[in-house]
Amino acid sequence: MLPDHAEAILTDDELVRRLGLGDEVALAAAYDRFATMVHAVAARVCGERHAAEDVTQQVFLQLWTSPGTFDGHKGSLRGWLAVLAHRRAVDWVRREAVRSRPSYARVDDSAPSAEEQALDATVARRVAAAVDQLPETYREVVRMLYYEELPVRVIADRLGIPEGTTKTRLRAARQRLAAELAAAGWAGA
Amino acid sequence: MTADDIGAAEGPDNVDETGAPSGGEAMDDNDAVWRLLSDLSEDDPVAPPVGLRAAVLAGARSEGANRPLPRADQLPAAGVPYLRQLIELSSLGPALLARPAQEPVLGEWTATDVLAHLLAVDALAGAALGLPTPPETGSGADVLTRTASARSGPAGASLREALAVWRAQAAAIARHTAAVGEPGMARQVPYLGTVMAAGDVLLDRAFETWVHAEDLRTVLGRPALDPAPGDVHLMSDLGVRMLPGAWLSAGGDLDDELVHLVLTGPGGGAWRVGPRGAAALPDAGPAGWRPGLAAVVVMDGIDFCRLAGGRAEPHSVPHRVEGDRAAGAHVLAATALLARP
Repeated sequence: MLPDHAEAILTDDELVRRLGLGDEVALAAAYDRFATMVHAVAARVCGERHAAEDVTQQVFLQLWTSPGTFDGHKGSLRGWLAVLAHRRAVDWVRREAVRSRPSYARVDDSAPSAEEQALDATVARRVAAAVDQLPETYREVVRMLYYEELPVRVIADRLGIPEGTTKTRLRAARQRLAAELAAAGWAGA
Repeated sequence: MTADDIGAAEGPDNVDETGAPSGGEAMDDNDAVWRLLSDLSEDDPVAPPVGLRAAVLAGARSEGANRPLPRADQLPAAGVPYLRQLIELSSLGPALLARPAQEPVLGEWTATDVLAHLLAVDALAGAALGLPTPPETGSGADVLTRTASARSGPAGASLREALAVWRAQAAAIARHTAAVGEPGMARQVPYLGTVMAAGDVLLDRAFETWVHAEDLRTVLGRPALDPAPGDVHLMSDLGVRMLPGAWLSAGGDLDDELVHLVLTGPGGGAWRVGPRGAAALPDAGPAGWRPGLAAVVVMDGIDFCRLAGGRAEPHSVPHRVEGDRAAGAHVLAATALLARP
């Protein structure tokens, strides 16, 4: 017999297998597990409430219609959804940029223009700039975790500090980062 | 960093096992950026609005309505009868739509009311299984309240809408059943004021869907369509197992009477029924009264189902009792008590 709330403990692969069979219970479980993250990523990139909701819907509808495009060997479902949310949100920002241009300047939307591609760069540049402004003790842990992908344990060893201290620094770094992004007008931060 | 760098690194296809490719010192790694964004979001989440969950699930149901149903061989045994009844009742749709909308088919109920009722009770089953229950499936925790709610909603206003909402939900139930498979059938879930195995909930839904499909076939002038023998057996087995509870909850007293119930015809079988439970007899061969038994009741399996569905009366349903006639009458009366609105 399955325990109550069995869906809460389903693995990524099992969730995706059930989604492939059209199981709404699995979709509800995925939503309950990941919607806050997906919506928050979308809100941060789009900076607009309704857009964040639209993006969240798009992401979960894509998970519903094409769960087979997720490959558990390549990463976690959480990571896949985060990329998808980011991608859809950037799409939205691009479309908004096109819409806000004077009509005479509109060009074929099917291929991203240099201007639209530059928007991608803007998203990453904002984050990179905020990271660069962090104090060195914070910047180095962020760099090691997110850019060098070192486990917390290895970071702690390399810096000669306890793991707990490393985690505290990471938490503080992210708080500073969120504040920097908010000051730069980054929605949701 | 260039725009090309971003575009090239952006898709989910590029996510590796750790969620981001290994990066150097340069702060221009797009995957690192989204991982960082994701974590920032976790630290300080912007919660999605409450209604968004329902909107996502409604969108999924709407999209799923166009997908093919699962095949019977994809379903656990207890889910197959429901799938078959779903297909049979769906097939009546065009003929029902061609008839006058206000024509009564069951008491004062129109075909629309019958479908609204089925979708309302299916919604209670769906909720027990963990499925979403959109507003058009009614609200309320009991059969009558929920039926009234569904009838007064959009599904009660048009047969086409009632058929669509009912079928989309029924398909969702069938797909969920395929997804959880045999292991999910034993899960105990709350249903209609009691707790039942998920498989029994599905058999109950198959049974009621068949009962009402028979109502609709009668109005359409079509012959009765018995469920497949295996389905008759599974549905009868559920009915027999509910007999002691039905009898006792209605204030009946079986006085430790032990009765053998023999159902004849395709999908039949034999069961031992007592005040503390009922169980299938391993050998459904020729059964007769013997000392220790209060009675043996013999009747056709479809007649038993019609009696349990409120489509036959204990006094008129063909049957034979060997032994104590009063004990036999208890079994028939208890069977009739299984009928719901």
